[in-house]
Amino acid sequence: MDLAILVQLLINGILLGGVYAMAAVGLSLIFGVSGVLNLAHGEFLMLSGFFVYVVYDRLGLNPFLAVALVAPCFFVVGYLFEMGLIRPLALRKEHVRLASATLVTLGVALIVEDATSFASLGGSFEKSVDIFVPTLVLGTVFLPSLKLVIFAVVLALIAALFLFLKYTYIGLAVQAVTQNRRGAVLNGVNTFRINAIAFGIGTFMAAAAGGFEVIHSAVAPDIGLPLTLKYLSIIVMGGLGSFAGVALGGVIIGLGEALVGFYNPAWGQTVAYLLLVAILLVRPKGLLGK
Amino acid sequence: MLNKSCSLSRLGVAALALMASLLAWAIATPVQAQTEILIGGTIAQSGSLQGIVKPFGALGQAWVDDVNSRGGIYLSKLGRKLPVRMILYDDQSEPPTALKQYERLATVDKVHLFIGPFSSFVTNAAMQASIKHKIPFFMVEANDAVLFEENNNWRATGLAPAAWEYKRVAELYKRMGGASTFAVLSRDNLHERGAAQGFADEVKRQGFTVVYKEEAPKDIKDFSSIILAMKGKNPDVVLIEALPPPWNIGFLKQARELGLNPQDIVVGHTPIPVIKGMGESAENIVSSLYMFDGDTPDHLRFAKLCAAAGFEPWQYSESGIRYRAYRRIEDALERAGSLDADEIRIAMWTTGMTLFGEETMKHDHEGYGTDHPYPTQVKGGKHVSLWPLEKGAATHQYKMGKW
Amino acid sequence: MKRTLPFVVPTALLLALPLLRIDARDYVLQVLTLLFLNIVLAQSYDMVGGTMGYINLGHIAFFGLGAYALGILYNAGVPFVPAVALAVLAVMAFAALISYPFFRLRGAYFALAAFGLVKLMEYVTINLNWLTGGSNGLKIDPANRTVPMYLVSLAVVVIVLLASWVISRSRLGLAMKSIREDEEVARDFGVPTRLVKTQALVVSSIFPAVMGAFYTWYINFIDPGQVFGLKIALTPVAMAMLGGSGLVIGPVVGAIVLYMAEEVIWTQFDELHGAMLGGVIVVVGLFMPGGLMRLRPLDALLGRLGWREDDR
Repeated sequence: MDLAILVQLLINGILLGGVYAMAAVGLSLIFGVSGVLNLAHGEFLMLSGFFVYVVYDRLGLNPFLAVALVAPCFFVVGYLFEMGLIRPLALRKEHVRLASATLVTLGVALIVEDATSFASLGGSFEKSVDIFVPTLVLGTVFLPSLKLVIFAVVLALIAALFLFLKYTYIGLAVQAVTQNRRGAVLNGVNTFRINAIAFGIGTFMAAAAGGFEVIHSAVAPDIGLPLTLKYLSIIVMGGLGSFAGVALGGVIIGLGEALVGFYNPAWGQTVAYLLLVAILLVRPKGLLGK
Repeated sequence: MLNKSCSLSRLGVAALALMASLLAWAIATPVQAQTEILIGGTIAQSGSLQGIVKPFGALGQAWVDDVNSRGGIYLSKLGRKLPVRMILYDDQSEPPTALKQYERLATVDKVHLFIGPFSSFVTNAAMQASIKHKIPFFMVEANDAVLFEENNNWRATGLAPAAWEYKRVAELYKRMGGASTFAVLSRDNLHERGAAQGFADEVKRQGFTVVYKEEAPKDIKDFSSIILAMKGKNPDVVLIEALPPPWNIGFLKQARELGLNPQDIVVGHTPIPVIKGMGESAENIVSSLYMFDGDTPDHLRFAKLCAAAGFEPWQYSESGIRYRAYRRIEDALERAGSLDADEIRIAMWTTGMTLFGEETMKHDHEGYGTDHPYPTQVKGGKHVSLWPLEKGAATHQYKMGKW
Repeated sequence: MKRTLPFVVPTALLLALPLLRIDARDYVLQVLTLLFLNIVLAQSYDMVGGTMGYINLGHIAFFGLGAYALGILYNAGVPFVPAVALAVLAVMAFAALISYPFFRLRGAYFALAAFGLVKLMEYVTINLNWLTGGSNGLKIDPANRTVPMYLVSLAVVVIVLLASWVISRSRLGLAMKSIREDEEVARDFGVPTRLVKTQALVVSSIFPAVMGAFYTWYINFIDPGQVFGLKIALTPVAMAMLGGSGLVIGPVVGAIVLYMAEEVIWTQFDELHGAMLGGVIVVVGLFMPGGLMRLRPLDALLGRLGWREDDR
C-alpha cells in the first residue's frame, strides 16, 4: 500500500476512535459508579443533537455555542434521571437490579425515541447543522479539523475527569463507590448523590457528543439504540469502568473500521463486533478491566 | 380444597374470557354494505422505515377527501358515484405485522382493494393476503425482482424495475458529454442495491466506464475509507444511492471534509434534511424525483394533495409514487365500473392512462409498470427539474468540485 | 390432575380454533401465532436468563440462525422436515460451541457480549451473501401457511412450557438455580457448573431455533435486519421480566400481557405506540422487580393452586 494512504487511514481511524470514545466515556463512568447499563445513553445523545439543532435553527446561534449551551443542561437531565428512575432500584439484589435497570433504561429509550419522532412530525425527522470547518491539509494528508477538535476535547475531558476523580472530594467519593460501594457507605459517602453526579456527568458527555454528531453528520430519532450498542461494545472491550480502556477500545475499533473498510466496506463495520467477541474470549474482563 | 377448585375454575373462566374477548375484538368492526369503496393498506408509522413514509397516511387521506369532495368515483355498472374510504394501519416496518394486518383488512374490514406498504420485504408478506382472499393489490413502493418471480395476477404496480431508477440520469450525462468515469456507491439494502446496479449497467451501456462500485453497510457512519478508495480512482461523477438522509449527509459531509471533488455528484434521494444539512454545498447536486416541472392538472393536483398533507412534493421523494398509485387506482376503478375483484384486477393490468401530461403508463406481462424518476438538480436550495432531456441539458451545470 | 386443567382446557380450545368457520379466522390465528412466537422466545430466554441468572441478551441469535439455516437447507433441496431437524441441530451445536467462551464472562460482560453477538451475526449474514443472499434477503417457495404455522407454534408453546416445568423440578434446574444464587458456592458444593451452563444454553437454544425455522417457512422471505433485529431481541426479555423471571409461569404471563397491551395500543391509538410500550416497560422495571406473578395477590393465587415455586 501507498504510504500516504496508510498514513491517512491511520489518522482517520484514530480520529474516529476519538469520536467513539467521547460518548463511550460517559457510559463507562455511569456503569463504573452505579453498575447500570444505561440503554438510554444514545437517546440523550440524539436528543441533545436535536436541541442543538433547534437552538441553531430558531435562535440562529453558532452551532458550537449551541453545544456549549445545551450540553450542560443535560447534566441536570442525567442527574434527575438517576434520582427519579434509577435510585428506586438501588436496594434490589445484584442481578435483579441489573435486570430492572436494563428494563427501565430500555423503556426510557423507547419513550425518548418515539416522543422525538412525534415532536418532529410534520417537519423532517433528520436534522443536520450546516456548517463547514475547513480541513487542515498537510501535503497529501487531510486532517479534518472538526474531528481534531473532538479528539482534543475527548483527551481534555478524560484528563479533567482524571483530575476530578483524583483531587476533589466528590471525585474521590466516586472512585470509592466504584471500587467498593459498601465500604464507601460505611465511610459516610452519600452514594445516591454520587450516582446522580455520575449520571449527570455521563449524560453531559453524551450530550456533547450529540452536539458534534449533529454538526459533523446528522441525527434522527432512531440512531439512539444502535449507537448505545456500539458504545457498550467499546466500553466492554476496554474493560468496564476504565477510562483509558474506553479510549483504547474506541481507537481499536476506529482503526479496525478504517483499515478493513478500505478494502471491504462490509467487513469494516463487522470488525467492531468481531473484535469485541474475540477480545472478551481472551480477556473476559476486557483489555484493561480488573 | 373447596377454595382450590374455586380458583381453578376462576382461572379457567378467565382464560376463556380472554380468548373470547380476543375473538370479539378481532371481529368487532361492523361489516360494510356496498355504499363506499374501501381501500386498505399499511404504512409504517413506527420502526425503521417511518422516516421515509410517515406523512403518507395524511397524503392518502388528502386524496380520499379530494375524491369525495367530487362525490366519489363513478362506477358505471352500479350507475352511481361511491365515496372512498381508506383504512391504513401501522405495520411497524415489520413483515409479520403487515401479514397480520392485511389479513385483518381482508376479513374484518373487508376492503375491496389493497394499497401496498412501503418496501419490498413488507410488501412480500402483505401480498399473501391478496392471493388468498383474491383481493387486488396495488404495490406502491416495491419493485424488486423477487416480487415478480411468482406468477401472481392479483398484484399490479406502476413502478418500473428498480434497475430503471437512474436510466434518465444516465441519458442526461450521455447528452451532456464531458464526464466519462463513474463511481457508484450504494447502501447495502435490497432496493438500493438494485437501483445502483441498474445505474452502473446503464452508464456502461451508454459507453462510459465504472471505475468504482461498492456497497456500504446500511448503518455505516464513517465513510473515510470509502472516500479514500474512491479518490484513488479519480471518478468524474460520483453516485450514491441510499434512502435514509443521515446516510447521505454523512457521506457528503465527509467527502467535503476529505477533499473528494468530482465534476458531479448524484445523490439518489435528496430530501429536505440533506439540503438543509449541506447548505451551500448542496448546490448543483443531481438527484432524482418522481416528478418534473409542469402545470398539467396532475402537477397541480399533486401539489394540492401534498399541501393538504403538510409537505411539499419534493420533501418526500417517494410521494410522487404514492400520487401515481392513487391515480392508477382511480383509473382502474372507473374502468372496472364495479367493485368486483376480478374486474378491478383486470383493469389494473390493462392500463394506458397518461399522467403528468407526457408519460403513458404501461404494464408489461410480468406485472411491472413503466414509472421511473426524473433527474433534478439542486439550485438555490430547491430541486430544479432537468427534464425533458433538451431542457435538462441546457439547465444542468457541473458541480466541478465546488463545495 | 386438576392442577393441569387450566392448561389443558385452553390448549384444547386453541387447538380447535382452526375449525372455526368465521371470516376473520385466519386473522385471529395470525395474531395468536405472533403471540405464541413471543411466548416461546420469552419462555426459552428465561431458562438461562431467569433460572440461571445469566441475562442472555443474545437469545435471538438462535432464532435468526435457525431461520437462516432452514432457508439455506430448504433451498438446497433438503426436504422440509429433515431441514428443520438439521437447522435445529446446527443451532444446538452452535450453542454448545459458544457456551464455553461466553460463560467465562459474568454479569454485564456476559449480557453485552451476547448482545454484541446478535449484531455480529447480522453483519456476517449480510456479508456472506453467496450463502445467505445478503441484504437481498432469502426467499423460499411462497405459500400461505397460516393454519399449519398456527398449529406448530401452539405445539411448541406447549412443549416449551412442559420443558420449563420439568427443568424447574429436575436436578439440572436445581443446579441452574444454585448458579444464579452463587456460582462459586455452587461449584464448591460439587455442581459441575460448566457442564450445567452448557446444557442450559443448548436446551434453551432449541426452541428459538425451531421457531426460527418455521418463521422462514411462514413468512417466506427473511432478511438479516428482520431476524436479528433489536426489537425482536429485547421484547422477549422484557416479557419474561414483566411476568416474573425465574418462574415457570412468569414469561408466558408476561408475553401474553405485553403482547395484548401492544395489540391494544397499536389498534386504539394512532401515535406514540413506542412511547406507550416504553412506559409499560419502565413501570415494570420500577415497580415490579419480581414481575407480575410475584405480586402478592397473584402469588397467593399460585400458592392456592399449588403452583408456587420456592425459588428465592
